[in-house]
Order: sequence, then structure tokens, then C-alpha cells
Amino acid sequence: MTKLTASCLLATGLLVFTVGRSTSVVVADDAQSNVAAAATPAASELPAIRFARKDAAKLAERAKQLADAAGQAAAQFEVATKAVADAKAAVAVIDKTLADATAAIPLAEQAKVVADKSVTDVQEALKKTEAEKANDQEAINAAKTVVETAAKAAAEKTKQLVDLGEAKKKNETDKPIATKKVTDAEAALKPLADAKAAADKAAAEAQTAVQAAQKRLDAFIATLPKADPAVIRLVQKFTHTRPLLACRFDANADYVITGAQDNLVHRWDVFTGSHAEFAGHRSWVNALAMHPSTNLLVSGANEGQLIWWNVLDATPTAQRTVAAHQGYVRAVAISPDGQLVASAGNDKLVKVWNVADGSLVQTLTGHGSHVYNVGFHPSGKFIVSGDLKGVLKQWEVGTWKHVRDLDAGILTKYDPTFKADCGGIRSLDFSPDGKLLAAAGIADVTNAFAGVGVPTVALFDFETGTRTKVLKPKDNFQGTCWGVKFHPSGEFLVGAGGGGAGSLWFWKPDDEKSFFAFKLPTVAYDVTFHPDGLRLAVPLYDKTLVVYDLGPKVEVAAAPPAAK
Amino acid sequence: MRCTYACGSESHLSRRSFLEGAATGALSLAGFAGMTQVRAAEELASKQKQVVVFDLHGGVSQLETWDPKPNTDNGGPFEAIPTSVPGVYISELLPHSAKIMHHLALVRGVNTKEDDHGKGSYIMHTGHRQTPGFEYPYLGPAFSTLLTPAGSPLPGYIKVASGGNPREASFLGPRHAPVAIAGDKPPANLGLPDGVDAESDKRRREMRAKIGQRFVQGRRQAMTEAYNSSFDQAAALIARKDIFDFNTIPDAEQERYGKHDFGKHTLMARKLLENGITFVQVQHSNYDTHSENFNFHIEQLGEFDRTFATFVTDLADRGMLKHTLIIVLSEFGRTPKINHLQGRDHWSKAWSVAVGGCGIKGGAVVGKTNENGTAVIDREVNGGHLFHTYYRAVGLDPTKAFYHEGRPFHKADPATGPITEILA
Repeated sequence: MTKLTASCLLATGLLVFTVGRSTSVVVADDAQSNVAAAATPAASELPAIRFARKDAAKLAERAKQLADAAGQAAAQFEVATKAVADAKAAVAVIDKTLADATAAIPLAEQAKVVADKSVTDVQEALKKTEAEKANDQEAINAAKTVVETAAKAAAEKTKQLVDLGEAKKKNETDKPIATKKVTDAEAALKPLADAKAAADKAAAEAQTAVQAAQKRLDAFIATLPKADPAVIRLVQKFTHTRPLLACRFDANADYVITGAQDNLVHRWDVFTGSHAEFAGHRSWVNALAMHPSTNLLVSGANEGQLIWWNVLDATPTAQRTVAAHQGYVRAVAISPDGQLVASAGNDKLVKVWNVADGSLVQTLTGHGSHVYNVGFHPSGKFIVSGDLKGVLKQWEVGTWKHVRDLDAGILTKYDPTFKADCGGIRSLDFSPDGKLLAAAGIADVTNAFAGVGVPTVALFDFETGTRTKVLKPKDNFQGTCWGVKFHPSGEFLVGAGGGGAGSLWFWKPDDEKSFFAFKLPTVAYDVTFHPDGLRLAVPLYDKTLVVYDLGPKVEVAAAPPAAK
Repeated sequence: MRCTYACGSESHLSRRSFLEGAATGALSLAGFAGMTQVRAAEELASKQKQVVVFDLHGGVSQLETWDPKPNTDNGGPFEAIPTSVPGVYISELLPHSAKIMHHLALVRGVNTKEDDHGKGSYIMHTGHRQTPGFEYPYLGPAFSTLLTPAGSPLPGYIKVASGGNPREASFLGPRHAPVAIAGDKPPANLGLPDGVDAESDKRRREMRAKIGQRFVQGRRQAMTEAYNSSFDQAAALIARKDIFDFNTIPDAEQERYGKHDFGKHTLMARKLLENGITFVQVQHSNYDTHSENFNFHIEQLGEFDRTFATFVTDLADRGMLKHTLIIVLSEFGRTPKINHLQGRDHWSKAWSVAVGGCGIKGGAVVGKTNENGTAVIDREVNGGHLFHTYYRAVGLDPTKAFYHEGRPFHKADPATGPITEILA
């Protein structure tokens, strides 16, 4: 199956991920108040602070778990250390016994010789007495008693010698077994020592991360944080084995979800790095939508299906599978009220589904080519869909009337050599106030074979339906803008994409040239903001999912300041 | 490479036969034109082998057509679907072709070792790698030479929807160079000039022929023949310009083939074959999908699939498949690895060619690539093997070389042999 690694540089601290999620919730004392706050977040609190608080609490929770784990590792190490000592002591006892027996045997042999000689002597004496004093029965009896006593003593010495021999032999047999026990115990100790070292390191790093997160929270409370593309830096990276195509955070931003070229949806825990696969699609997963208030994730893939998932499932399983389109599902969106799912496909259709039971609410017909994207207006009153030929269609939710077309024809081109259309609405997004609509893709195509053109976002005044701006990179970049998102503040937009190289572009809605661009390791196929409004996640062709931070940098001391 | 007719090659004989036929001039054309389509097809079935090549220009992806590798790192987003041949799966982008797989054979182990468009194309159309000093004739001129019946008034080789290069014929001479037509439009200027009626046109051509014959005596060579044959061919084309008239085709027919250029071109190919053209090549452009491989293959194969399957079905229904060899080729395949533009690049090391019809065992699959399509692991073949197979399929001996200026030009690389597994 898939092979995964993860690394984390959350905030400026360090976290080392371990595989698997703990179900126990243990909270560090010093983070108690923060956890309580995170559990009941003030609705009015800025998302950046709310999530900084939650980060600190989650990291504290994790630090406590890792500290516990380090404690357990230490205990196991201690037990194993004692086992080694006991085994060594047993060997020492054997050695001592063996040495004693070895030393005693010559003495016992000597004693036996003396005793045997003594028996011989007294037997001679008895014979002499019997010969010389045949009539002196008393003397004879006395001599016999002496003989018996001597024989008994000799037997005793013989037994002592045999016993010593056997004891020596037994200890000689026992010694290798006891010695092996020492070797085994020492071998068992090594991984436990390593585990202890790793657990200690993880606990220490987690503690550093907690300090960093706390410091970040404190700094945010002191000065309200603002996203600034100029300070963008990598904070997390998840590595997979296939290129990644789409991504979303869940509402609590505990997880980042991606669709990949392996036909799976992937979920990474942003705090632990643990990973889960959502299997059910039969083709590339290009489309993801998170429900605004529940744990529902709807995914769409190129085989034409939509799948409903509980994003928090420990073992994710498809809750509902809908055969939605003939050919690719290109995009999926959930209405702001959470009641409807809209999907767009290569069958030139937009379809609207009931979130609750997956039933088809409406099929919207009218597109003349593959429908590449679909989105709900923030008011929930309209759906906008965009196709390969750059046609944006506005539909009224409920009456399902086609309201009007918006012209994003700059994002498409009929290539006379291919005799095919290229381009299309790769991404679309509304400004949070609903006044602007952004549609992204490629314009000014000079070579359809090689995808040479200019990454472009067409910006529309949604009230009048007129195209107001054409946003392009300020440098001479060639490629496609695969993803566009308004920052929650509405103050700027981010585009993600690439051609030969990958890039993020940042535009102000009233300036056609990007005010900032950031080079990516390779082409990005989507972009999504973390709900804190400070971070964003980007799925890349190079099989990694990267999270960048646009929030203020918070300096963290390497060690606590010395007491004065 | 100029044709001098010093060699007594098959091309010479064929040319002589042609000239004998042509000597009677345009007078003989009416008889051929008078046949009905079905009768013409039956007539052809009894005596003539024909060939149609579908050139998927730019390099079609083997993974999105004949050799899918779903659920692998290189597989792309498409699934594999079953075909009319049990156990044989092809890409879901070819649902109609899947239904006629019993008419086709797949060669999945092609390794032509040439990733350049021009050089790759040369291998696929000549069977040989480009060699300095050797201009091998293309398959079209070769089969036009070897298969066109004596006295046929029409060109032996017509290319639909792509330019015709006289160099394709090499030493076989201009008589067998491709005549190019652009889809539903006949070759240019087939109508008579204003003020010239049919009778006066006939008289002026007869006069030209007489003067020409006098000039040719004692100095016959390819250039003079080219000059003459172009007049003969033009005359034949003018007489049969109805072949190229799309207005005679019912709308329902065009609907079946698809109302797009490739549909029209393929319908034209069928018409040309029905009218006795030996070798027809249809180009479908373009598959050079370095970017957006999957989107473009949806588009292109969406056109190709239904049209091609309709064409094969029509040939089968009309009894033409028995004598018409169908070849679906490209200049190479596409890289298994999917690039950062979701494209695939040039890949000649492991790709597929589909053939069918005349002399081919329908439903056969030969050759195998590894799990993710990067290499051939069984029955590797190259252009030489393919040419041996094409020749054998139409009943010709590929080991008998063309001779030009005393030098042998092998019809197929003698170091290789036919792919007997797919020959009927």
C-alpha cells in the first residue's frame, strides 16, 4: 500500500510525528485554561486567535501524551535494565558455585584418600586383634566398631566428592543458559533504550512546540495578527507516493484532506501527522467539498461518482456513493446553509443534490462543453458554473432558472492544430462579501502542446456581471493557475499553479499585477486557506502537501530565560 | 530518389501496366464510374487487396488506448473496459472500438527506439530507420505499386487530411506518390475552366497525349512519365470527381460517422476504398499531448472511437474487411510517467499498434508491457516486424526486395520477421 512520511515544523517549534492517534485526552496543567477556552471558543474571537489558542491546547495535549509515553518508555527501560542486572547476578552465582566446587574437589579427594587409608588401617588392626586376641571378644568388638566408624566416614567423604562433582557439572551446564539470558536481556534493552531516547526527544520537542504555540498565542493576543504574503514560510509538509490534486481543511482544522492520483482521498492529522485513506473512488480525486458545520466531506472523482464521508471516521468508509456524471466529476461544492451539494462534470451538466439523502434535486443543462467548476454564491441564492469554453453560467437556487452568462472566454482557446479546446475554468471563488467572482485558468495560450500561456484570473463584478480585472503574474510566468481563493478578509486573492515551475501569486482585487509571488517546488493543483486565515495548504505534483504560514513570525527562545 | 526505370523492378512492370491502361486515355473511365457501390465492392473483393491507415498524428498514448494500466502510478485517470474479446481490456476512452475488438489485433510490444516525430514517423511508414543514401518508399506508394490492378484509372494512394509528399514514393515514381485531398473537398481545380466543355476538353487532352508520346520516344524516364501521369491522373480525377462529392452522402451517414472533420475524412476513406483506391491514409490530428494529455485524449479519442468503430463495422458489413487491411498507428506512443502539466511526452520504447481486417486474426493480442507500462516484457517488435506482417497480411512476400539502380531495398528489415501470432 502507500508509504507515508510526515514532518512538521508547526509554528517555530518542532514536532515529530508518530503513527497512530491516541484516543485518550490528557491535558497538561499549564494548558488547562486554554483547553477550556478552546472547548468553548468565543464566537466573536478572531479566527487567528481562536486557532492559535486551539493549537496551543492541542499541542499541550500532545506534549502531555508524549511526556507520558516518555515516562512509559523510561519505565520499560528500567525494567529491562533490572532484567539485565538480574541475569548477570545469576551468572555470578553460578560462577561462585562453580569456583567453590572446583576448589573443594581436591580437598574432598584428599579427605577421601585419608578416610580410605584410615579404613584400611583399622581393618588391619581388626585382623591383628582377631589373630592376637582371639579370646578377647571385647577387644575384637571394639576394633570392629572402629572399622565401622572408619568405613562410615570414608563413605561420607566419597559422597561428598560425588556431590561436589555433580554440583560442578550442573553449574557448568547452567552457565551458558544464564549467560544467554544476559545477552538476551542486553539485546532487549537496546531498542528500549532507543525508544526511550526517541520518546524523550519527542517529548522535549513537543514541549518546545507548546512553548512556541503559547508564545504565538500571547503575541496574537497582544497584537492582532494579519496575513502577510511577504512573510510566507513553510510550516508543514506531508509526503505521499503520488501527485496530489486537491485539498481542504476540516472545519476545526484538525486535518488536511487531499485527493490524489491514486484514486484515494487522504487525511493527515496536522498535529500528529497520522494518516488515513478513504477508498471508494475508481479514478483520480479532483474534487473535494467540506460541509460548513458538520463532519461531512463530499468527494468527486473522474470515474463520475460522488462519495459522502464522515471526515472524522477512525476507519473512513463511504457513507453514500452517488453515480453523478457520465465521465469526470470536475468539481463539487456545498451550499452555505449546508443543505445542497452541486457537482459539475464532463457530461456538460451541473447537478444539485440533497445533502441529507443524496437525492437529485435538479439537473442544470445549458453548458456546451465539459463543466470544469461550480460554486455557491456566499448568499446561497446562486450557483455559478464554468466550462471548458470559458462560459460562466449563473443559476438561481430554488427556481433553478438560468439567470445569465458571464464571459470568461479569455480562459479558453480553440487550438487549430489539436482541433480541440484548451483551457477552461480551473477554479472559481467568490469574495467573502459576494461582490466579486474570480475564475482562474490559462490565457494567451501560444502553445497548447506544451501548456504555454499566462496563468490568469478573470475577476467579475457579480452585481453587473462585467469583467472588471484580468489578474496576471507581475513577472513573465508561463503556465496555468489551477486554484484561486479569496483571503477571508477579502483584501487579497491567492492563485496557485505553475508551468515549468510552481508558484503562488497574490493579488489585490483592484490591481491586475500580482503584488507578491512565491516560488513553489513544483506545480500546484489547488490552494485552500486554513480557517485561521493565516495559513494555506497546497497540493503539489511532487507528491507533497505543503502548508505555508502568512502570519507574523513569533520569535521563540531556545531555552527559558535565566532567572535573575 | 529519382526513378530511372533501368532496373526492371516490380514498380516498372506495374507502371507499364498502368500506362497501358492509361494509353486508352479517359475513354475507359466511364465504365468504372458506372458501377454501383456494392457491385464495385464485390468486384474489388474478388481481386484486390486494399489498405487503410489511420495515422493518429503526434503520438497517441498507448495507455489511453490499447494498453491501459489502471491503478498504477503511470495509469492516469481512466479505467480499463472489457471488449468483445473475452479477457482483452482497453481504455474506457474507446467504448465503441471495444465492441469491434474481434475484428482487430493488438500489438502491445512495439519498441521503435525513436522519440523524434519525423524519424519515428519514417520508421512507422517505411519499416526502416532513416539511413543516409537510402530513401525507402513509404507503405502507401509500395502497396500502390504492388496491389493496384493494371489499368486502374485512379491514383493508388490517397491521403486524406494531410499533405502529400512526392518523396514518399522514392524510386517507385510519381505515379505512386500520394494524392492529397483535404477531407470533404476534392483535389483542387477538378472542374473544367470556363468556356471549355467536355468534348473540347477530350480533344485537347488527346492532342496533348499525341505530342507527348512523340516527345517521350527515345527519352523515356521518370520525369517525363511524371509529367504524363499527372495529366492522366488529372483526367481520371476529373472524370471521377463525384467520388469526392460529399453532397451525395446522406446526412444520416455523416451523423453515424460524426459531424466533425475526422468523421468526414473517414467517410471519405470508405468511399475511396469502395471506389477501388488501393491505399488510403487518414490522419487524425493531434495527439502530441505534452500538456493536458487526459483532457486532449478525451477530446481526440472521443472523435476517433465512434468514427473508427463505425468504419470498421461498415467494412465488415459490406464484406470489405476480408480484403482491406486496417492499420492504426502513430509515430510513437507517450511516456508512461505523467508530467507536471498532466501531460505525457514522447515514448517509443513500449507502445501499441492496432491492426485488423485482411489477413489478420481478429481478437489476437501479442506482446506485453510491464505492470506500469515502461518496458516491453514479452514479444518485442519494431517497424521491421510490423512491415513483414503488413505484407504477409495482404498476401505479398516481404522478403522480395525492390531493386533500384542495382541495389536491393528491402520491403521489410530482413533481420526481423512477421508477427505470425496475429496473422490469420
